[in-house]
Amino acid sequence: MTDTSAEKITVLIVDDEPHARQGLQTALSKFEQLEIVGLCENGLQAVKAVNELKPQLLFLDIQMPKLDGFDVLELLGEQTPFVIFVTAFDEYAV
Amino acid sequence: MHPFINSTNKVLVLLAGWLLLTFSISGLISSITDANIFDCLILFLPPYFLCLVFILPNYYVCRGLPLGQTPWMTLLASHTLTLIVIVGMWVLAGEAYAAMLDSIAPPLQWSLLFDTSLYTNLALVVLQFEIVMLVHYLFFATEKTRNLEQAALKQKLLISQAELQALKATVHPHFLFNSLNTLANIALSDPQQAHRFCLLIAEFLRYSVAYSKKSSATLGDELEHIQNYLGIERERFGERLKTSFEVDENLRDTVVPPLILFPVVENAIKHGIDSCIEGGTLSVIAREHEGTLVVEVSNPVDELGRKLRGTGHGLSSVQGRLKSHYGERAILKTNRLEGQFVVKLYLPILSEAES
Repeated sequence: MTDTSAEKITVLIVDDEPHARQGLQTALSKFEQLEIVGLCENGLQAVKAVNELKPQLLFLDIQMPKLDGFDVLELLGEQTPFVIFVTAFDEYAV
Repeated sequence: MHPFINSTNKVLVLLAGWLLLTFSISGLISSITDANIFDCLILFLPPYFLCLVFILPNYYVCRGLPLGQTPWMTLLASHTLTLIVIVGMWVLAGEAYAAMLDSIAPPLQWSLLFDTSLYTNLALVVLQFEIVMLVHYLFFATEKTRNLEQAALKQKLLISQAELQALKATVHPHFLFNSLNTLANIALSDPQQAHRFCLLIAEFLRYSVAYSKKSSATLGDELEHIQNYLGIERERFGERLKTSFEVDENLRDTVVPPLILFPVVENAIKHGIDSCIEGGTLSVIAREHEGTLVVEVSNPVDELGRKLRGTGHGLSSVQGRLKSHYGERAILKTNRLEGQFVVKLYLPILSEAES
């Protein structure tokens, strides 16, 4: 058991909408190889959490108050893990 | 181009009028001097045509010296000077023409005929000058009225555009887009809640669509609509959105323009609550103040946290609609103080019968 958990990819979810966080958490929990290590409501929390928890993968919302997704990436710099943008913002959504 | 001769028809009418006038003048002079009317026509037709050519350009002088905006001394001096120049040129030209007739068509003494009728002619030229001047000023006056009417029409158009914008904003695709995303997430975890959320959106849309066609609603209807809207947004914002309502119950039946509060509250959410990391309380107060209905919407705002560039369009469209409904009797005031943004609407208190 311990061996498999060590191989799991650590994930951090960042979104300012509670239902979006919950929805993503529900969706991602179906993948056994993923381990969700934290949920963040805003950019500030996200930067702190990445520094502390060192996740390998970041699900990052773009439109957030104060620090948006792009600001978070800028602040993280070299420490930035793999990032998947999650957004309802039609300008960035693909 | 002079407005009286900028089309063929106008030129023809002007020439016909001028011909009639010149015939009358020739007749008049023929009866005064006992000269043959045809001789009078030969002598006066060309000079009076010249008179017309001299007088018409006075249009530009009149345009440069609008009535009511020019000191009367300037007006008097300019027009007198123009008149003297025109009369002087006219007499010189007339004398020259008569002298020419003397040499080519004797024995009639054309110069003598011209000189004996000079004072009558001078009076007629001055009279023509005055009349044309009056016609010019009259023309400017009607043109001004027409411009004012056009401006009024333009204003009306702007207002209906504001109405349309307000309506469009109500069922903004972005709003539906966000709501559907939220609904999708809720549906994953809580079907009961998803059901309630759908009903809330349905109720919100029903009001928007129904009332966009009506010309009035009650304050009570409007507040309920806003509650529905805030109910939808609460799902998106969670703990970040708190609301507080303080409404004087006696005012619920007051008649207001439909969908007038929605853009204000939407603005408070978009640019206010959503700019604050911790969110905040959106408060709505409806009260009476000195016979006026005051609706106050306030929210915290964090200038550095704003996600969207404000266009201020929502509030300006509300202002436009208030103006179209109430003229000067309604006011929209905004105030930014210590991190709070406050919008106050002052509306006349009208019941169903009065509106």
